Amino acid sequence: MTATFDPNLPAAAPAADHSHDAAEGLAAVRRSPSRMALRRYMSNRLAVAGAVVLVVLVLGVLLLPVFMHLDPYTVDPLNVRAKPTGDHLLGTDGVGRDVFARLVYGGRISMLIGFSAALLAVLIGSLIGALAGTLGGWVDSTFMRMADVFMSFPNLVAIIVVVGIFGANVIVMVILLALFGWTQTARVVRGMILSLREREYVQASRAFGAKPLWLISRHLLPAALSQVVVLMTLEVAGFILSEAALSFLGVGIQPPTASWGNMLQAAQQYTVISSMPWLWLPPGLAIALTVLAINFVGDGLRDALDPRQR
Amino acid sequence: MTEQVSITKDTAPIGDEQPLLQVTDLQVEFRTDAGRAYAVDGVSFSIAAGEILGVVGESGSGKSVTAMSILGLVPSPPGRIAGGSIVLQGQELVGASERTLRKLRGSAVGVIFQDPMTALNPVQRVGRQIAEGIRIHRGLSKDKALERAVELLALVGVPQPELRARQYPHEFSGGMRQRAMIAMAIANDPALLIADEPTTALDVTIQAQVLDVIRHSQQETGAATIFITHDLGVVAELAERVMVMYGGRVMETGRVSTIFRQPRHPYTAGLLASLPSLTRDDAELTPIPGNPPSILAKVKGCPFQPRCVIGRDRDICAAERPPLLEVGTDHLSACHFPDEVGASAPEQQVAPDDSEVRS
Amino acid sequence: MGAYLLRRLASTVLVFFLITIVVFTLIHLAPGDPIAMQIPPDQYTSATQDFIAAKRHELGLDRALPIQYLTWIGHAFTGDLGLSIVNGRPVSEIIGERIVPTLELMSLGMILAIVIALVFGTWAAVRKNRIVDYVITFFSMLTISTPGFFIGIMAIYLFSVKLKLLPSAGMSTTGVHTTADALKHLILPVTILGLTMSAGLLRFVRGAMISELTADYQRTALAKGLTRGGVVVKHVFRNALIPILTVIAYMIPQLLSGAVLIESVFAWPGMGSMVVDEAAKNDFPVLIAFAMLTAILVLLSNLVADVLYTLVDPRVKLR
Repeated sequence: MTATFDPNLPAAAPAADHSHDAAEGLAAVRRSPSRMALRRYMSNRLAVAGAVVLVVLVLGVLLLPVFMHLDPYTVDPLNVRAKPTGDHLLGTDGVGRDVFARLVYGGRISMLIGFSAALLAVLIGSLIGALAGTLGGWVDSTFMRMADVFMSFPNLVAIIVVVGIFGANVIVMVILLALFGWTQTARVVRGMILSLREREYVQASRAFGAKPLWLISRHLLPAALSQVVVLMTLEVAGFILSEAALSFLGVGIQPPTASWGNMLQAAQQYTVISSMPWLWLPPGLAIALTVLAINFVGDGLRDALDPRQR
Repeated sequence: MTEQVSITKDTAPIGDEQPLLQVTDLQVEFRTDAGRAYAVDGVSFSIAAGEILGVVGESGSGKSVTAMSILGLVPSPPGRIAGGSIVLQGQELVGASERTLRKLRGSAVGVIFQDPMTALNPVQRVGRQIAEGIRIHRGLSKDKALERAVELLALVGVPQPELRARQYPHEFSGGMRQRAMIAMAIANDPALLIADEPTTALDVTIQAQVLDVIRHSQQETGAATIFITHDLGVVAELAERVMVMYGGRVMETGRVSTIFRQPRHPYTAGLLASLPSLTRDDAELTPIPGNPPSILAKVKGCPFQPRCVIGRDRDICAAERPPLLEVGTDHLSACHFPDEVGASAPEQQVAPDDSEVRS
Repeated sequence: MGAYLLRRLASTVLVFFLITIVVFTLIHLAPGDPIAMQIPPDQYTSATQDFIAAKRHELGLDRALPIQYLTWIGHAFTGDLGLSIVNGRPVSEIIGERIVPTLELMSLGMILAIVIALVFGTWAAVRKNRIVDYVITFFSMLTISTPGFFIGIMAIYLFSVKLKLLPSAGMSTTGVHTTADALKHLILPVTILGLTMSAGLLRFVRGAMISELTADYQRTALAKGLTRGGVVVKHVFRNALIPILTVIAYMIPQLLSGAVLIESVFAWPGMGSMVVDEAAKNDFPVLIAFAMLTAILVLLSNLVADVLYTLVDPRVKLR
């Protein structure tokens, strides 16, 4: 009575048919998942819209200064807090600088900080995650305990304290943001490694005497890459928000350098909020639009790369 | 045998009495990313009070979906009953209100699910989970319902039932959980018991015990039982009648004794050939070659045709759907050539792998 | 349970001391002398040099770092957090008058965030892939993507400037001491904080509910004759709540970040606006105390999360 027919068994049969042209078959296998992912991504309207908006924004802040005259720094004491006109598309700020020019140049700084902090955070996180997952033992538990504390520590508060003392420029900001943003990547990479090291092909490599570092670079990181890319995308969004918050509080990027966050600092005054919306509305909307676009891209990537999570 | 009667809506079922459950031409569809899937495609069967019907088929043959349709438990969306009729105790259930179905669930019809590891709520005590169904349908007090739950646990052979009732599912072994599941299903003396592969997820040694419990419970309550399995051995042991399903359709149905002795459908014959037997060497075990059919397109002919020795080269099998016709006393088969089945040794009933023919 | 708690508590205390050492060292490594900073450069003479040295001695800033640390931590346990370098007031006094408004803002914001997240997250999960779900998901994404302080600024523009319905700053109107006035001042800061904090939690609630809604046990419950609503309330919700509770506990420290920003926007006289001011003035006794309080908050909420998890989930055995 124990005899059952296994429906999975015959299902493996067709694969054997293609084994003679192994090279071709392998290429097809390798290509098709990314093609499938691309198709899934393209079928997600919000994700596509997010990507389009993001490309437009990035090209905008990079190329606009090339095609038109934009001067974000010249102070004009005679033309302070002017309403938007033909000369100044979005008016002028508290010391007479062109708001539109500052919006474009500020976008460069905000995006630069977001992208580079995310890159650094992912690098730190991958390294720590890979070390913790591969070495295990006390290294693992120490790193993970550290990650716990870093993860739950209100990073804004910590950065305010540190920046308040050391002062801030773009590089300090990037390092600090990354320092408080690596934990999720570390967790994901560690988790991937723990599950992957049990798989046969990795165990086989170990049996052949492969070194841990070789294992990490050759087998484990490629497998973790898609998840890390998703995390990094979402972290870019988070870091742009953090930069904005810190600069808004006056502990981030300092004028005269423009960033979307420090442009919003003007709105600390009630009169600016009440009667000069051109000073705070554009940078606020720019942040929201950029971060929203990036988040949709990130979500779309996650769904496309790992449809099971949907 | 020459007189062939097709079962349709207006044909009276076998026997004079109205059966407990009469399913006629049931159609269930699922909307998937790849298109519409026809999980159940024109299934008809009936079950009399107190009878045990074994339903056999591979994964994806539509056997579970058929059973879940009875109570409206097919997840919707994506699933949907697209047609047919299900009459339980004279009451039409297709298109019935959620309220009507709810009153039947857990009272007139009890269900034993496949995986006792996941079918029980992990954060609720077992006794309370059993008592819940009793309270809903009988309006008993909490204490009274719990008392009854303890009695039921004892009935299904759970030792120390008072203690066990206060425990959580994770404190139970797999076999004990399935007993608790059975207790839940029979809590309100159902007229119909649906057991959806109740032993598949269990250890081989536990399977026999759980089968005994189901048999015992069935005798105790007198419930008609639909026993879904892909294990022909279990059917032989437990059921009086058997229904073989493939590709969302009924292939063959009849008395177990008849069908096991003389199958009249090549798929059933293939299944039987894949069973080990005492009279044969295990080396002769014959798996059924080929893949289970895709249910993404409505098959014009017989779904088994690409894998069938008899039908693979015949146009009629590919083009025309074989009706489920009487081939003997209380014995129906959906094959254009039922008489050719069993003409040769069972091992040769089945064609070699040719799944690509259907593409 | 007792042994587990004790062990967990011990590791918490250990981590706390590690954090205090790191924070203390970091702050003392900072460039810039906080006392010299108080003196305008044009008054900087050789006499001030002596004055600074004397002042440093008086404040104990000339001693070795480990000594300074031990002195500080010893005093801290007696409630003495030192004196502000900027205005000479006791730090405990400064923090004491700032902590209540912040806690008020945080706790009310938290409650609002949880209610929003549970209600709308569950709603979206039950109606997965239908209009309601899309609308809720989109709005939560919009909220996540928009800086909370910017939402606050827009709210001030709309409700204070244009509609003149609600006050834009402070905890009360000067000279007015009515409950109604205080409540009016609470509405905008609490709503904005709750809204911004709810978005992430909402998405988590939706995810947790969706994965529980497809769990086998909900089909079992349906088969027993429960209503679909009853299944959600009695079975699914309870299961989904386990991970949600943990996330909520971990969320508490993040609430502080949100509060700092909201306090700045609405001139709320709490610790957040204080720390932003003091950071600019290099007032490290205040900054250290604030960082320590934050660390305590973080570690306590992590502890609560862990303990809560073991309490709500019967499957978790305490090692």
